[in-house]
Amino acid sequence: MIFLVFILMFQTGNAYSEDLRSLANLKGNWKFSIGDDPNWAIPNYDDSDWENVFVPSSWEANGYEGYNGFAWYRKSFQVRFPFNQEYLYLNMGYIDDVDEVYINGELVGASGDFPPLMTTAYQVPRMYPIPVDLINRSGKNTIAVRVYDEYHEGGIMNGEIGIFVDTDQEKMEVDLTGYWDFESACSLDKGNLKRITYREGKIFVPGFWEARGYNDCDGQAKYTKEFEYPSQLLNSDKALVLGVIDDRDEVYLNGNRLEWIKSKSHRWRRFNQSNHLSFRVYPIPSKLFFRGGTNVLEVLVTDHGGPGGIYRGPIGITSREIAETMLNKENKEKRSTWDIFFDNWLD
Amino acid sequence: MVGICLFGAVSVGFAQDYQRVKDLSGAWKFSIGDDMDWSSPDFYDSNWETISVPSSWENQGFYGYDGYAWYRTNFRKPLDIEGKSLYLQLGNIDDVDEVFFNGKRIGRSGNFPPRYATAYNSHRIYAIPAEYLREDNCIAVRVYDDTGEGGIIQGDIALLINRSGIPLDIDLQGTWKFKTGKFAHKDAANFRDWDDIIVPGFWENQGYKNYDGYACYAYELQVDSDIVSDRMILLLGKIDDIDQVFVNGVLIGQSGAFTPSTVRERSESYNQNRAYYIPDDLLKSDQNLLITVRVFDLSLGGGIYTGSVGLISQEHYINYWNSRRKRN
Repeated sequence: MIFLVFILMFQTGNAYSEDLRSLANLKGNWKFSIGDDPNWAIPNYDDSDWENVFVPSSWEANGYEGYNGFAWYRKSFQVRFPFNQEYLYLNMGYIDDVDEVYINGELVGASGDFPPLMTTAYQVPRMYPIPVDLINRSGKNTIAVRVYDEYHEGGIMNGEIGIFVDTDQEKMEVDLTGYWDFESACSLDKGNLKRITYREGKIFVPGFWEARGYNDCDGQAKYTKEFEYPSQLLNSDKALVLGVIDDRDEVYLNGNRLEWIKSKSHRWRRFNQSNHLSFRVYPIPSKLFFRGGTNVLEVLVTDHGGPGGIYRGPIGITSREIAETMLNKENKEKRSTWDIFFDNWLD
Repeated sequence: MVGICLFGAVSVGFAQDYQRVKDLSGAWKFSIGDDMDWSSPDFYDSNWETISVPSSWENQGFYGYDGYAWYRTNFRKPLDIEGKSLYLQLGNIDDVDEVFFNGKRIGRSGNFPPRYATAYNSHRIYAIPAEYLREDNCIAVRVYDDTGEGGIIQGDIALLINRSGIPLDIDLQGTWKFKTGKFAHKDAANFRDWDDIIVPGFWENQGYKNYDGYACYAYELQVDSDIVSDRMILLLGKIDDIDQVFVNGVLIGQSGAFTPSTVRERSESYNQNRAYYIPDDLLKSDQNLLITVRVFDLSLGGGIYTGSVGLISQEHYINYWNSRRKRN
């Protein structure tokens, strides 16, 4: 399991190279107790006699060698930067096996299934959207994480743990993050119905669908978003940005297929394009927009094995120039030393 | 049991942190013959022979004797063992034995006639349920020897505590009900008619020699009203290989999907301590708890074989893990 997580880290480590600004760093000491009690989600629960553990790392590495079962983590935090977004991103990294995350007493996200019929979500990077109304801007906030581990190592294992905003999102002229209509053959895990961000038939984008209640879901899903397009924006060429998608996608704007720009840095190995890591920029012919009316964006995503979906931002429409600048920056950051060597050599 | 670790595990409950608290070697009372009344702590054994333990009875004047014989001894409860997991170590016994602690059966290895099977090469360590312990205690050991040397042959005969054992609020070690078969759990309504089995202990040592496959354990517990307010955790020690646990017919947990492929995927399953959180709504003071544990064993030793078996409150379980953390 450690080995697998390690490989996944390498594969999706780039998934968080987007321009994230940290609003609260949640790495470090947390209060910890094995056991399970719904009262531990309550913000003013007295956890002063709880143990301290370091997050992220397995609880085995924190002195609980051999423990399997339920445990809770709690921490208070302040959100230090001013913000004016509707949702913030809570990144909990990788949790082994199952989790429920409460902020100020409200369930904001859950992945995997708790016993008696446990299903693990250890390979799903947890990113949960938090409505800003839930955050106390000036004072103390409390996060409580309920974890169940069935076997081997357990806990909040690794990742950049904290609350973030995606600053690239501000470069979008039309912001398409938030709730999209979502159709898939998979059924929602029951525990997710209690989530305050749950909306029937909808999914919050970006995010792996495994971190939105569709655990262990493979196959095809359809994302649909309607949006208005203000005609005064049509002063330059536009592009749709869909962050990164795991794995294959087909995108339609008002019924017309859009194609994404394949990365130049992959030219010497064009049979080795990895869909699940590629930054998606789709140039939009201007005639496809319904100006001043309702536009429909449909995205069919197919994923086989591992987590799937439109999993990171930015998500929206901006000028083609800005979108391509982002794409180039992404591709530079994503190159391995091997890629850089070949690119230099080919240039 | 899978892979390489099998042989050690059948003979000794390894990876336990045993500490000797009382030496029980020396002079024991002894009689050839067989009578179940001899298991009672009240039985008057002063006119029995005295024999040295450990040593074969052939070396102690019973040369050439094969068949049944009983050993008895008494000891005072040692100080400072409250709340500890207690074990009786009897070393090697040739061939078959059954052990009574204050008249209660706590373990058996091998099979008595007519379905005789020796267990002469198995190292005997039997868990002593805390509730059986008194100020003055009586151990009675029924032995059957088929041929050659017989008796409590060799080993460190002693009372042990297991320092890695989890302290129990309600000790469930002792006699459980047992039935083999993939669908044995569907017969749980008739569990009182099932065979007796000592938990913990491999089923191979208790009349199911060479049995591999599915089986079901059952235990009925009278619920005390003062445990009902607590969140309780059911500890089942270590199970070889995988298990699925029900309380009053409701599934409360399993060690991975209950299919043979899980054993192959998780080769360490047999070495994991089992702990299952019991949902609060299953604990009602006016209702008995029927615990049923389905077990699948792929090969060699099978069953709930070692470790702490019982119920512990969540509060005590948290204390146990926190103190364990500080100790390490």
